[in-house]
Amino acid sequence: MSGTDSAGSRSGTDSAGSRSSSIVDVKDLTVRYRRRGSLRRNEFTAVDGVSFEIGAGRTLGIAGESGSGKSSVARALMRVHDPAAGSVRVAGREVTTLRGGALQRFRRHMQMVFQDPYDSLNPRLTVGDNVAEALTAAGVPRPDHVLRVRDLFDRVGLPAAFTGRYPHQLSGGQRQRVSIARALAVSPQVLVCDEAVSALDVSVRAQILNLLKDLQEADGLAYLFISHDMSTLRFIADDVAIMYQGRIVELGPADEVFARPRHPYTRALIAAIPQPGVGRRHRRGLVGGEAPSAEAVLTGCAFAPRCPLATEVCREHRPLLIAEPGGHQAACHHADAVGSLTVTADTTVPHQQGRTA
Amino acid sequence: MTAPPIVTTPAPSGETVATEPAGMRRVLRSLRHDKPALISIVVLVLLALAAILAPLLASHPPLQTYPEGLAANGAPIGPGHGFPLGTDPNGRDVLARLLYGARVSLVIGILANGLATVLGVLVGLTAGYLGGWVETVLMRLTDVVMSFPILLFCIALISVTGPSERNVVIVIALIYWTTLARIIRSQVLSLREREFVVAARTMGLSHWRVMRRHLFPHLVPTIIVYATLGVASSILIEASLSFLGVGVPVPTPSWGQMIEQGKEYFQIAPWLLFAPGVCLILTVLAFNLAGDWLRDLLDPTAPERR
Amino acid sequence: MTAILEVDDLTVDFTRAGTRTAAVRGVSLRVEAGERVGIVGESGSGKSVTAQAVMRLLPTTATVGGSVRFAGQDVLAYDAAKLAAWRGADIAMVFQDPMSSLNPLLRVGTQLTEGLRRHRGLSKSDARAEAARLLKLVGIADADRRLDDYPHAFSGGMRQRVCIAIAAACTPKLIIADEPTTALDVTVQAQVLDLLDELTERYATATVLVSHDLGVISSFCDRILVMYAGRVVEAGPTDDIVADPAHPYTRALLDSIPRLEGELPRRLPAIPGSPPFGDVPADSCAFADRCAYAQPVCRTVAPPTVPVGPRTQAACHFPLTLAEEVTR
Repeated sequence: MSGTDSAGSRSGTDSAGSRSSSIVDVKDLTVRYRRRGSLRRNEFTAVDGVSFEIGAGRTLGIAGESGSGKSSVARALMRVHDPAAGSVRVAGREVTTLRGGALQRFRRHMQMVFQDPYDSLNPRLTVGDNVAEALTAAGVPRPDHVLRVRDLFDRVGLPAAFTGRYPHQLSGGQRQRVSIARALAVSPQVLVCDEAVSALDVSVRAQILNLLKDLQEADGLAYLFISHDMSTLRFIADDVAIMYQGRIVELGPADEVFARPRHPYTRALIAAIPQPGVGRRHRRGLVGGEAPSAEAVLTGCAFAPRCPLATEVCREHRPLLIAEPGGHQAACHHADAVGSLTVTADTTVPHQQGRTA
Repeated sequence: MTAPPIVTTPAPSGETVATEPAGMRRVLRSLRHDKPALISIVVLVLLALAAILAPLLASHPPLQTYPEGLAANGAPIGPGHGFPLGTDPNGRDVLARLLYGARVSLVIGILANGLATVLGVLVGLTAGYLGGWVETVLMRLTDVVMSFPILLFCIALISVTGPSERNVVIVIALIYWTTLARIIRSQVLSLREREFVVAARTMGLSHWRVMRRHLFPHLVPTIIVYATLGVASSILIEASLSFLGVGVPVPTPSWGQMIEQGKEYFQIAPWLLFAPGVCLILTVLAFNLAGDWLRDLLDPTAPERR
Repeated sequence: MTAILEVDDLTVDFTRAGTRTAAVRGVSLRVEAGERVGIVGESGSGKSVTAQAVMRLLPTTATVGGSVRFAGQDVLAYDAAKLAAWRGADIAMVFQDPMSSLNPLLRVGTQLTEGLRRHRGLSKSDARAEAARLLKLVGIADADRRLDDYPHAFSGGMRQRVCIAIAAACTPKLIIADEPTTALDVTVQAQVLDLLDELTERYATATVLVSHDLGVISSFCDRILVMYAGRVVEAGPTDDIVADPAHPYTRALLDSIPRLEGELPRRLPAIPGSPPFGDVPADSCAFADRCAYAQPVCRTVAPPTVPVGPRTQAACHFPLTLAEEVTR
């Protein structure tokens, strides 16, 4: 039984756009990885039955901590790692079954901006050539490359003179702009940003977020924006999905999720963010412990061991993702009690049960 | 081996640099600053010239035995006395053999090793990048070849094909690619997880282009180090083969053979070992230093030396 | 109250391939017992270099000038023996990466008791009992048994707790924590900051927290130093600075963090350009090129550090706290 059965029965998805206009439609996506160093066929589930939609020109933010499966979702969508089950439809077309040339052509619809601006550009090519590679992939004739690269650089706010430079000669923010230019080169409809601003300096982060917003408004791009930082998501995302242990535990319009979280984990994530001038000298930790390793096998609600609201039912039955009118979904037996949660003083960590075997 | 195109000097903003001459200028400039590399390249050119011009440079034919080249007790004679580097136990001129031997040794060192390198890179790159059953097949094949007793394998192969320079080259290449294939594969395994390679894959480039343009250039440093060291190994494997009588057919001189033979007479005629030994060391050193220089030249992130 | 740490006009230069680069210029800072001082800055701001200079952890390529006094003693003059006795006993450091700051081949107990036996002269069994107490203190359950575990058996957050236990082992007067939560998940970061809070309260340990995250710094520290391109551009009590920043850089930094409450602008107020790298400019304000308020004088004269409020100082020709009356 999957916790996302109810996702399909979502009714009034007002802010998520009407069904017909969704450009990305993911249903029951499951991703499994081979456990390292094992001879037998031994897999663990990194993403377990995740469903969501992204409307054209809209941004879905996925939040979660390390091991939550949020990057695995991105990689499965991009077909870097093939999903084990489920369906991914982009612009109405099933992409999980694409092979060979069809897969290569599909890739033009969806591009990715990576986390590490130091690693995401080929250091042996000039940044102009890095972008030109994408033009080659899109079948743009070679003589047009120079002009197109200049155009793209202009769109992301880089001077054309930079095309001849190597990645190591640029700053982190400039490199991330090149990455964005490269992603735009094939004129995609969807951009997957995996922690795209996390590695940048704070003063540069805002520039890149603004750039992404501008590009979205100009081109009607849809974003899947993955970040561990809730404050970034609050700014960039129209809808937010919170992942924990490979599942979506809460999904809804960003305003709703931030103002009225219906999962204790979401509440803890928001409470944990230190904000200047807010919460000083207050306990920050709403929950103790850490997310169990992605490979741990748990029954019941995965968050129960850390949850201040957990009761017997949580440890035995996995809560389903239940939709409220308005499209706000949460997978919690005690969703109605989340609002009353306050930060506890006890930060003692119980012995970790999720240790890797 | 296909080298990636020489990159041009990165232009600071505003400054324009012409593409073609800049590449050549950069080569020359970096050579001017890297004295060991310059000397190495000179040595390699001289070695090549010596091998090509052997008939002009040698004062004696390499195969001719001279009765006056042996002392009264039948021992080889030392340098001087009309033989600049002395004679071997058969009374042949060591200098002449050295010069002609350079032909065989350099050809084997470069060709056999070059062939092995190409093979190793192709196997390692394909296996590491494609993964799956392709990887399983290629890497098991590598294991099988690695587990052969090398010399036995060579003897068996050559006794079937017959000893000749060409066969020696092929046989050495066939046994020598495995280590490089493994090294390259493991490098590719970590490279393919780097974000720029994932980016290249997800933008829809062909496998061939991803391998050629986004993986291969990053393997070049490893390949250069391995290939330059491999020159020596190949020359020495040829020596062992010659020693066992399955190398280059006998009267033809090669450095390996000469070293093999020189070892026996080391106590009474050390020049027999020194002459080819020094040549081999010089060659290997020159290849390595030139290799280091080439590696830096191809790496745009390497700081330019002043 | 006496100062535990007094840094006066600290300068750090790195010499590489014959060229000298200024990394830190004129940093002064005073930490009193039980005080929490934060140094915030972006990459290349010199915040970590400052911390390392205080701990005498810089490589030999670095030239350190100015003075660093710890409880009145000149730290820069310490010899090797003195340094070894000082570090761990009176001052301790917590690093960013809990994976690499523990030795993977030694049991956690061994790494904890090392300092206890050395600096506090405890016997083997006493040290073990004390180590277990410390692990319990940092919130690790089943401490006795976990002493025999190797670091890999701990999760990232637990490892950072172990590192903090090691740092706290000899109840040092000062703990310097360099980005201690950057590698951790947010909910775990919150726990670790709570733990550091608890330690300071319990033992009156002073803490210098170094971070790029103004949120982390301002939620933890009593006083803040904002560094930019090797200089302290603004310093003072946290509340004053957060409420009323004087330096345009501090203001812009605060503005560029999206808030969790209230209306958000369609575009974030961003600082143009990137943080500079390399030399600290001697005759201009390093922020001038990115500053919305820059005047010609900012590009020709390095601004001196001046009082800009009752308890705050800033290095700016046109501090916002003073300029507002003038421009409006």
